[in-house]
Amino acid sequence: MAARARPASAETKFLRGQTGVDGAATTEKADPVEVEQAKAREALYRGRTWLGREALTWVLWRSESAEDLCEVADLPLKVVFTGKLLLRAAAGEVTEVSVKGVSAPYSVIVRQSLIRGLLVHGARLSLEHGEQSFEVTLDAEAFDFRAAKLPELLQEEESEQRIERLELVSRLGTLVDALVGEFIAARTAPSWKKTVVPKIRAWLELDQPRKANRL
Amino acid sequence: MPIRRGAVSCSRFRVVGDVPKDVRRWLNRALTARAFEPIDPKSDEERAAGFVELDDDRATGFAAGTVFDGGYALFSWRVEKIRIAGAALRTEVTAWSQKFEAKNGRAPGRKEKGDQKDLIRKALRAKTEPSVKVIDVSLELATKEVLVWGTSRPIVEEVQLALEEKLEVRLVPRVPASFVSPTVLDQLSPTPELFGLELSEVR
Repeated sequence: MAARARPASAETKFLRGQTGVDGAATTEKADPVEVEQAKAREALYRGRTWLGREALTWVLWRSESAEDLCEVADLPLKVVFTGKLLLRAAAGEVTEVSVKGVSAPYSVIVRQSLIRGLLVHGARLSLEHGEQSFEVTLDAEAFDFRAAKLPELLQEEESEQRIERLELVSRLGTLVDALVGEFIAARTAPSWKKTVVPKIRAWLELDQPRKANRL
Repeated sequence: MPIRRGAVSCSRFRVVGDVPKDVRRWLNRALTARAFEPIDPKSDEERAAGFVELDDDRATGFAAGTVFDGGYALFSWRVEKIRIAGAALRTEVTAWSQKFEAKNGRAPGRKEKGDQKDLIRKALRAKTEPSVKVIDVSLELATKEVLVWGTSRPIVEEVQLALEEKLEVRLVPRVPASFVSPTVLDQLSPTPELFGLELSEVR
């Protein structure tokens, strides 16, 4: 006959290391706030995601002006953030903010979040290069292409369409690489801290209520 | 097939390492070495994965005419999985236990039940069709850029590892960090003014 399990005595619990000399539990339940903060920090450093967040945030800042972001193959490249935008922080009370709306990425709410240390983690970008328009969702960690929309195919034969699609994806890759290349050039230049970061901060603080300017 | 139609979702990598002059042979060898082999119905395998041809996700011949198109090498990664639902297994075991008790006037012992459970699992496995997932892969020969046309991170990493192992190269993801030399990258850290915190607080 199987023995029925009895609750362990105080002495047994002590010998098992489950309780201390005062009878209190030796292992404390993890604080959910600390767990969340640790996860947010880990996500920031995993695969140098922070550099991807800085890159997307820099592109958002640069894209707000009507100027072309750069030139690729002698043609201007225009970038606009459209629709959903995901912001993440490595610390603080709010670790993630998601906004949706055609012009949401350029809203005051987004800049208020950015000013509090949340950086762009995921965004949908519309890229105009010459007569071609692309759309793609990027995330700061892997920079994978998600749900990318390509310009309309010109070829009619299925076998030719396949190659055309591959070439268009390759073109999109070239454009995204050009953006990242521009960011890296700015990020690794001595002017990053002296000029670029203050300009981004000034942009973030534009039209903000005074209280929101606190870090 | 994502390469042919629909919205594009893919992970991008750059091939780093020595690429032999005879690219066709190099690729054929690698794909053949890690070609897909279906799950053996008699074995206990629950998962099989490997390379197949793009136009026929059961073919593993990888003749040049089926792999190379324009300036690209195109193939796929096929994953088969057999999963027996726990609920179905439990139902069958319970039904057998009841029959056993009615016949023998006692409940089956732990070993008897365990043995029968294994038999039922094997029978269910033989009847279950594997689920199939196929992810396309393209290699642009001129730029040595590899695209894995999928978004599932574990599968993308599995394809990356298989290619790295069989092609004997490194596949570097096209993330911002890959645009910076390792020496410069080591000197970079998050910009405190943007993250809104002192670096010590973030680390």
